Amino acid sequence: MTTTSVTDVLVQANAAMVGPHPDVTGAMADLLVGVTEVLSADAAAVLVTSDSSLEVLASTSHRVLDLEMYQAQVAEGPCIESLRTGAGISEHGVDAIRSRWPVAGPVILSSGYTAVHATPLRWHDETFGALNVFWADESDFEERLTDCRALGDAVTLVLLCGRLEDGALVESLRAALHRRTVVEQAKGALAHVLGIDPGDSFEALTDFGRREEIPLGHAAELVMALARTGTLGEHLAKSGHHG
Amino acid sequence: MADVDDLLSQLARRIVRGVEQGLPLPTRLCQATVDLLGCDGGAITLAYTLLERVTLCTTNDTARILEEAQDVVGQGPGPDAFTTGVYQRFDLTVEDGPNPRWPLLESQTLTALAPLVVHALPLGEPDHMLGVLTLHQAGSTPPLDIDAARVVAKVLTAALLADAPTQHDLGHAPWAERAEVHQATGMVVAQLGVPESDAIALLRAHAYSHDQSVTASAHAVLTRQLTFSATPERKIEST
Repeated sequence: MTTTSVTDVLVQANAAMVGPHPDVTGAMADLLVGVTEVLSADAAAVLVTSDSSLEVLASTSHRVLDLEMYQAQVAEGPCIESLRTGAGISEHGVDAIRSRWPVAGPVILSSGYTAVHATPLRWHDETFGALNVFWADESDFEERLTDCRALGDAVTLVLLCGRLEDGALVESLRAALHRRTVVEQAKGALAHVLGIDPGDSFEALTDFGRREEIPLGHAAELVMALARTGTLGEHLAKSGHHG
Repeated sequence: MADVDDLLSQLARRIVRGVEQGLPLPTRLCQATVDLLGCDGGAITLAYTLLERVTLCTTNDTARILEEAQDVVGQGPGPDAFTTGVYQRFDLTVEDGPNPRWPLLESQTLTALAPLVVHALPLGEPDHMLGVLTLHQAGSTPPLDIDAARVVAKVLTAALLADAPTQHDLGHAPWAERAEVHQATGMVVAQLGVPESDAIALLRAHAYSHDQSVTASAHAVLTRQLTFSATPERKIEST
């Protein structure tokens, strides 16, 4: 019996991030061992999307049987379902697993597991992978599932931490903030020119994008470029926009 | 300094526990950090000196006043921490004159908070700054453990990235409140035909001269109580 708690695993995840040179591979391997201990599970893996396919990023075991099992899940199974729905996916029992996933199900069973769970890993509004957990004994796995979400967050933290140094994530978040900012500015600019309430000008912006045949983000940039030179009103009148 | 594992353990425990209280992650992180480091309050602000600036949370009125004041005058420990990537300290005292580094950062509202020590910790790497964690302590509080604060700042950075706002969050405070500043900026750009940076500077100047927050001035623009007009007869018209 182990005394590892969800908190211990989160601490591990945090500690892996604050060192001078975060070792993401090592931290992820340790983290997955912690995950199986907390959940009294027998195997765990992190699968991430890569060029419209699934790739095993880390796993607790490299048994041939297990690797085949992860491979079989590329086409169907709990991970794919979790990625598609963005929700946690669970199944247990020999018959249920076999009938739910005719191809991947038998491979999971022949690896010796009778209960399986997949928790989605999210970044922004996007699901980029899943934490996949397996049990050989299905008797009490369901009561462990509430911890899966927190553990999935710990996995996400370690993955993000490994990419903090190159700044790409920070830039991505800043770019998202920027896009949002420009849309709000464009709403204000249109509100002034059309004499409408800024709260109602989102529709004017989508109209403008449709008329110019450009996506919303570009429409907002164009509105602001015109506003800066004081030609937004003129442009709208010419293109027949009715405020 | 405090034991790192112990520090992280306490932080992690609060992250897990706070989920049930339904508080957003930045608020939980900020409050946990304030408690852990023995401070009296704090704030987390993203993109501190940029147009995209947004304050995610303030744990009390003092923290809010400090963030608003630096938003208005565009100088202080927060802007410097963000642009240099280096920790900044600000001693707010009763008797001294204006602070030589940040002379504009002086108002009756701020002086009323003295004596106060303000710590601004950069969130992110120098080339890729995300925001600033601002903590404050009353003069009598034991000094801040800067090394511990740096460790926590790194964890906060990763946690904030992991919890980037979803489309759902964007319709709610604090994002919605800041959206008014962006909309007002857009209105002023359209009114005067000037760049966004000039428009926000005008909003800041208006806020400064009226001793109010940038959000309050933005609201006046949106409700058309305040109009910047480019007509030659009446260059800037304000009510």
